[in-house]
Amino acid sequence: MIVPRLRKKGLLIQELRDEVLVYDLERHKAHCLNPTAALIWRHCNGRTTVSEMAALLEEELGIPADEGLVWSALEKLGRAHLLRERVTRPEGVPRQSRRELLRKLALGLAGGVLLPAVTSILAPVAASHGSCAHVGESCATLNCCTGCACVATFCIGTC
Amino acid sequence: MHHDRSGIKRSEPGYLVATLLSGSWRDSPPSLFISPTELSEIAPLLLKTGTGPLAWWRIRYLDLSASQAAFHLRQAYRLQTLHARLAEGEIQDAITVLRSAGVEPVLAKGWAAARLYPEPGLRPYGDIDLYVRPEDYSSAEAVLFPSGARVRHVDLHRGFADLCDRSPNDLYARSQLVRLGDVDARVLAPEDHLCLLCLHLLRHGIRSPLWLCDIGAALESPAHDFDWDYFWTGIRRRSDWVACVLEGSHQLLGSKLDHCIIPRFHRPPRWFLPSVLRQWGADASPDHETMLTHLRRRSGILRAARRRWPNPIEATFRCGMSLSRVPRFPFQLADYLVRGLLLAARIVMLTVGLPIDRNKSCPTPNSPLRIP
Repeated sequence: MIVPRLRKKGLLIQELRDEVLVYDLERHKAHCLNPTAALIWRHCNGRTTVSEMAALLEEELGIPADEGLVWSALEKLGRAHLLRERVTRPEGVPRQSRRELLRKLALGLAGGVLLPAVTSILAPVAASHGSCAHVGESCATLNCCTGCACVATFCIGTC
Repeated sequence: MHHDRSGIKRSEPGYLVATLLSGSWRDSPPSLFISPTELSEIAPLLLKTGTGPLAWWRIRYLDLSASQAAFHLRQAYRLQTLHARLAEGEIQDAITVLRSAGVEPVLAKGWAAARLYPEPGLRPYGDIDLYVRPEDYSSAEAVLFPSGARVRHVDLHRGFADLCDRSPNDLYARSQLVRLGDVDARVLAPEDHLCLLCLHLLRHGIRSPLWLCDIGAALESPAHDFDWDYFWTGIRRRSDWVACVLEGSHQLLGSKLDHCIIPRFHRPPRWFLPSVLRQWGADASPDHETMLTHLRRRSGILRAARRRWPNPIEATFRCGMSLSRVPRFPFQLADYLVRGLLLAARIVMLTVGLPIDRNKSCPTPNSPLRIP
């Protein structure tokens, strides 16, 4: 029986009102988890099974209990390196597209926001052609200007 | 929004920036009417000035929040929120290191301003501004930067240059301890911090709307025992400058200001508010390279020289003059020429191998211009 475990080491976690932000200090990448993904991630405690997670989705978010949905979330969390070990979907649980999931769960188009989402937060590409990246720009290819700091290649400050 | 709109149309970017940021520091900002096109137009300006998160905060419950421009503002909000968490760790680390060496720092601007906002990620800061007593500066420098290299994002200040009419002992005596993670951080008393914020933004010509938002947040933060009598003591011209900033924050960004607390009501001169709005609407990033660097490289010198033409507010501040109706051009020219001469003097001193004293002096009305 698969009981996923979330990774905590090397992560900075910030809960906001309607999403959870995670910064991977080792990879310098930032991710955003919507409420569905966040709920599943929080219950990756090494004790909760996938079917139990599906039941929790229905209980807490009103989403029809569906293991395929949970597996979709676990795969996304695994790809973002937010689990201790990546989990493999069992053969009996087929992959479904987003449209198929929405149809199956009778969520409608608006229900798309309820599907688990683990999004990488990307900094905008630098617009300036200076020798350093300014506030609000990506410092992926340039150092931040003096007085700025950066997180996930995004320049921050009041410089 | 009440302000002097002479020469500034509603459609101009600076005006739109001010409209969007009005009251943005509140937990529930006021209602807003701005079109998706207008938001797209000013989104790059908001991101460049670090006010993207505040803008997102203002529009987060509106239909606008689904637009592409809003997406970028929200991304900035998310990243700044994460950075705020990271920075808090750095601040705690710096304070602990200093205290281990017997140095008591005062944290100002940056985090001290950000803590007055509803969420820490709304107000960005790059450097950590730590102020120490002048006699502690060398010890502080030695423990913070042991190898001489600037390994921390700390901007270490020797004394309180902008508040030089108050003694460091008085500022320390009035300071407060506030919780920051596992440490108690020392911050200036609300009166001193508000004064510092006002002078800081004048020094930089109110180039960033973020600093005026700080004034709004500070004015509206609950400090029931704010001592306005103490706030207005000191150099009179400085009080006039500060009064102008407070009034400007009210007129441009709608910050709540009880006018009866201003002893000598100082309405900003007609050129003041349009000058600020024009700046906010200009798509110009600061030049982070020194003139010496441009001169050494022999490239971009003319452009760098043009970019250093002072705006009317910073010229007024640097010349120690009052914010009056008198045209600002003479002060801008004087400031520009004197800084040019000082640069020339630095080049000569470097050439002959003389040391340069960068000791900051108090910006009193009659003080000479300081070496930038």
